[in-house]
Amino acid sequence: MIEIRNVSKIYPNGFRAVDGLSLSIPKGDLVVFIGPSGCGKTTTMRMINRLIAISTGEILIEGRNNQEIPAEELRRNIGYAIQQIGLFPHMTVSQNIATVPRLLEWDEGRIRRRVDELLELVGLDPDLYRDKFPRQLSGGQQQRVGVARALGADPPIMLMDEPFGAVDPITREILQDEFIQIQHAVEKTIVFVTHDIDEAIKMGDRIAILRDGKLVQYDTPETLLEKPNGRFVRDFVGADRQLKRLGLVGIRELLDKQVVRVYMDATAAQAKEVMEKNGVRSVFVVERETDILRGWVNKEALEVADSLLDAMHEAPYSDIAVRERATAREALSAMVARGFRVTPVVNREGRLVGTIRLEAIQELAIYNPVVPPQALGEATLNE
Amino acid sequence: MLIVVPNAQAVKNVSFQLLELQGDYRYAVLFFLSLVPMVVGFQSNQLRRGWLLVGLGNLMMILALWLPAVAAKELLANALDILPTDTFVRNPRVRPVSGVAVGLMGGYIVLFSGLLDLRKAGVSQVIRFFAGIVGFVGIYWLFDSGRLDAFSIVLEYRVNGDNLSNNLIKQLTYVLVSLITGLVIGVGLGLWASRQARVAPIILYVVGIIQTIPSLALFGLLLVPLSNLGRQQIVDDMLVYVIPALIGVSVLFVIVERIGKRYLPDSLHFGALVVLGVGALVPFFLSTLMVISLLFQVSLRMLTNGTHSMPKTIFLMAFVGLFALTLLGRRTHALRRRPLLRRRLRLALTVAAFGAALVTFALTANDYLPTEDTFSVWTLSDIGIKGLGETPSLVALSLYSLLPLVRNTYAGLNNVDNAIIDSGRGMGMTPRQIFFKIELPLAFPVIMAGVRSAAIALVGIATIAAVIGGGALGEYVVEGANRISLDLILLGTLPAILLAFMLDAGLRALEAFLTSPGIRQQGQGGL
Ligand SMILES: Nc1ncnc2c1ncn2[C@@H]1O[C@H](COP(=O)(O)OP(=O)(O)OP(=O)(O)O)[C@@H](O)[C@H]1O
Ligand SMILES: [Mg+2]
Repeated sequence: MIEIRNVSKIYPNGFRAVDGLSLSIPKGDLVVFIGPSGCGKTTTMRMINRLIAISTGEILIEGRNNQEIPAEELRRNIGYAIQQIGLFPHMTVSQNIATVPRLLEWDEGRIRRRVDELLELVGLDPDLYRDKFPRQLSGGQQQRVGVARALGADPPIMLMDEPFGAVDPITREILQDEFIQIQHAVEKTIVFVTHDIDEAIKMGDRIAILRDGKLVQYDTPETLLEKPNGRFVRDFVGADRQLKRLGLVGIRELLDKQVVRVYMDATAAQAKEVMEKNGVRSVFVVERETDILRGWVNKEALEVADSLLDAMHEAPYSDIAVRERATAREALSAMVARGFRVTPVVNREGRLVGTIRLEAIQELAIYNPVVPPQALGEATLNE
Repeated sequence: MLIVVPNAQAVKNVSFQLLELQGDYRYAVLFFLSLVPMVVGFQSNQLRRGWLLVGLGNLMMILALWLPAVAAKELLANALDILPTDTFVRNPRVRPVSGVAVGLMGGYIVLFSGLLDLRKAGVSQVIRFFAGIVGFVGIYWLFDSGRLDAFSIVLEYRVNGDNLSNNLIKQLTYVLVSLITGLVIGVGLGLWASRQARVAPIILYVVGIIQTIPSLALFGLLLVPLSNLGRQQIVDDMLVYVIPALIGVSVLFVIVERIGKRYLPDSLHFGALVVLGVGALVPFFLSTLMVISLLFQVSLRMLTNGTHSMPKTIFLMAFVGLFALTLLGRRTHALRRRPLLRRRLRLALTVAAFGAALVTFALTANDYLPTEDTFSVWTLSDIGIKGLGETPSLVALSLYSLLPLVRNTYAGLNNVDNAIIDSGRGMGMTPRQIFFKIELPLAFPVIMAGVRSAAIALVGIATIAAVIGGGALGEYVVEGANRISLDLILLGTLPAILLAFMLDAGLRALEAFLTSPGIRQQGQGGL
């Protein structure tokens, strides 16, 4: 738990980099700071680990005023990945990662195991990268080492200043997922700075939007998208915030499990019969036994064809279906791309598990408040 | 071209071109040999080309001296016939001129390019080292076996060179002692400058000014105060005053620095620091003077008269071991797999070297320093502090070493990327850990560059010590200039140049050894 109470940073030239900021970061939560460049995100972070002195106000960490904790001790317990990465160029990757464990005087065997574990965590093969020097790494690889280094001694609190800024989208996605998992597994309290609103929505338990050193809104991603308090936040989250909100909803709850289907080995007549009985103009075709989606067939095609196979529109399930773990936004995107009003949903093996109608998503976006009631209750927190 | 000279001072002489020598075409070999490298250049296999060039370079260097030496000997045999009849002939000699120098240099260049090829082809450092010294060993053999005796400078060495090795050591001691002094003071000042933006320009300015004072003027300025100082009793006048003063000022300094920062207004705090700094100058100067004077006298004795040979031998062996380990390099596989072993080995060698050096030093100092009953009557001049001679030379040299050291320390520390220091602080490193684990290793190559340029400059400047009776290689230069003997001047100059080269190579090796490969520049390191 980190409690920032009415904290300001006033530079000697009178500039207020942070201005009366108050927010509390619950233990085990990942809070994202986001806002325009120069709004005080880095400054706030650095006041937490005392790299920057607080001008007024106070910061409590687990109930203790951080000014009372010796600076070095405080910092060894707070992992910090700085914005500029700042790897030590004269040390190998493993020496870099081992920095804090060495300061804490862990024994060498434990350090070695920890380094390998962390390298694997950030997706770098320990055998390949352990003995490399930072200058031999790409920017993204350096950034990953920076994150591993911040995680070094497994600190309960992490400050991460744009930790994935230089990583390619695919690796970034992987790292984000990894990171969410770590965080849920070990309940770290994390302050995370990013400029990417999508990353913020995906990663954050809560998002703090800052502007000119002041807190503009501090809420869960859902609330933020549902009820941006004012023009600035609305602009900041983007005109597509409703779409983004759909990105927070899994499709499971929209799933229509009563799917009309025919088996591959059925005859054209059997297929027609199924359609008539259910009053539909097209059906999905699946394999018998496995239920794996193979394509679809519509009535018009069946009229002129000799067999089901001739009339059938065959396509691999990965091309025509969405996975059951997808978000509503992804389902919508798939439908728009393929021109479907209904999209099949498959599980990991390709088994057809249900369908989603375009109208269901539309309804969700327009009529249903996505925000669960308890989150609404907490939204008053920043008032 | 060879010049036959009748005696040490003669201006009159007779010169010959090698190829002109009647009926003798041996020397044409050298000419053709120098054409071969151009042909070898077409060889595209890097390894083969490297070896060919190395072989050729070594051969050229040896022949460039040997062939003229043979001719010189023959010329000397007929010296009386060749030289005009009215000249005074004593110790006639042959002076090798441009051609020989060009031949040597050409050979060296060929050798060097060959070594570069070998390095690119991945030949190990040890093998390259031995391949590189063949020519030099050959030259030494020529010299040692008397085959070069016809040459003027060698003759000069045989006549006046009894003291050459002692003078060489003295020169080296000058350089090392003043370098160490400069290092302690210069790195300290550079560190201070990099920490205090306000004092940085002052320090750099003062150090820059010192550099512009001509050394002779500096000697003149030091003459009176130092000779007065020399009369002071060590115990009564110096220790009683200097040490308490130094301690007192330091304590005050720390108090003002620590406490003043919090309670005094900024300008007053700074002013107090400056006043204290100036006040500390005199005791600081005096104590430094005593320390370096003693250090020099004892080191010189330690290196020249070998009474305590046991520790000295250990010292040398450990040093050689350390050097060998450097040559073996980090790439050596067996050691790479066992970094701990290597670290321990290195540590043991270092400890042995330093331990033995210390023991030798202590034993020598014990012989040199006064016994208890004479101690009280000693004056500063008894530990070498006089207006003339070694101490003023040391002071001057130490002062001259300051500029490159201060400037490079300052630049090196100042240029360490802030983000790197920041991440260190962010991880909870203490200021001391940040300095020793981050700033110093990162600034190290820059500081070492300063040390190297200071060392090389000092080798040159140290020759001037002879002017005020400081001895060393400068003796030959001064003496030679007085007697208008070119060969004698060369006898002082050539070893100085060699010394500078070797110091540079040694410091480079040390630098390579101590610099992390993560920040090592490509293409660094000599042979
Ligand atoms: N020493 C200083 N004196 C005066 N102003 C400063 C000083 N250091 C930082 N600032 C100002 O404080 C403000 C906040 O800086 P901060 O680094 O916290 O921004 P940020 O939100 O992290 O921006 P970015 O997204 O670009 O990293 C900036 O406007 C900066 O110019
Ligand atoms: Mg920032």
